[in-house]
Amino acid sequence: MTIWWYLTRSTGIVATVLAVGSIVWGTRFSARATGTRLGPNWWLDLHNWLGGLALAFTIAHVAFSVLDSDSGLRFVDALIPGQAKDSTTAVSLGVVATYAFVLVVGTSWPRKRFGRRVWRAIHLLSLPAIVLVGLHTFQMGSDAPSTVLRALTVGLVAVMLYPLGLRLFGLRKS
Amino acid sequence: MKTTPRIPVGSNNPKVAHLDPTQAAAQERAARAAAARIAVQARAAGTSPTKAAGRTKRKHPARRSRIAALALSLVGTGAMTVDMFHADHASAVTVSTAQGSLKKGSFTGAVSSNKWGDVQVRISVAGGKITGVAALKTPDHRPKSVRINDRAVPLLKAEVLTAQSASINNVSGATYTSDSYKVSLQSAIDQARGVATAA
Repeated sequence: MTIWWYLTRSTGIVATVLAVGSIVWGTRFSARATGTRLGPNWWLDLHNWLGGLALAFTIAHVAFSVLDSDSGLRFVDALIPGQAKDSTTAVSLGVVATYAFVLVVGTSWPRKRFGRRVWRAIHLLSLPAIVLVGLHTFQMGSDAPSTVLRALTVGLVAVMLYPLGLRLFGLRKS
Repeated sequence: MKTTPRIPVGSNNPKVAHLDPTQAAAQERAARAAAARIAVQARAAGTSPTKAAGRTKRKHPARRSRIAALALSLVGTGAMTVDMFHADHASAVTVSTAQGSLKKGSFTGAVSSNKWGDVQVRISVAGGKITGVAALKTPDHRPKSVRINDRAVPLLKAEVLTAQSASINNVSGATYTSDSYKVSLQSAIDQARGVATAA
């Protein structure tokens, strides 16, 4: 196996953690559950940064998987869902999730150009996207049997549930 | 949206809290007037009241946390890459096959099973070298397994012929097949070396 294969897997895992981090920060900011120690600007700034980093690592993940000659993944497979010959469903889920993250992050910077409703609808795509990422990870199977990855998944889901609960059920703290 | 800088009111304002109410009110009025003036100047100049007041707003309030997140991500990627590499190479079946130590003939390795099915390998030896490798069994219960193995088996074969041992790298996306392939291959090589009974 080439070094690209290991880099593909590690960047994918790091991108997922960063995306979850960005969602947690964003949801807490949106729920006004940012506490008093750090200002809301700090939360928003870190949320933006984590989202950008998650996208950067996702792009690296895609690039490494195409560079890995053993993977049999072509550039077109990474761009168009359903094109991959191996693990078609898993790869397609990853491609769709990547597009969703590109939309979410890409519309964050010129936010004022969009109406609040449009921006909000696009931004909420990050939630189904992270679910697709989870399915992509476990469908691919390379790290699925790993106890560490399973524990990490449980941890990430737990970390996301609290701010989502705050946001959805209006348990505002401040 | 441009806003007037916020002035803490009355006793909340530490700058005026120690003054008597009349002085405090006068100072607050003066501060508000100054703030309003700055806001008007800012609007006229097309900039923010903070900048107009001569203060620079922090562009990235979470600057240190940003750097920490970036560093952690890069370190995490590096550490995981190294860990995955070592995990794969630690599980690799290694064997030393000095030239001429293998007997001539065909040797069939033991069946090695994994969660997707059985793998069995046969090697051909001539002149003390592995000259051919055939995969007799590979997982074929699912179309996906067939596709994966159609890609992986030729790569594994090429690696064996180059390495002349079972010390070969796994194929990306075919970890189970690769591991079982190496186990069966090791068994065949052991037979060729006289470690076990030839098939």
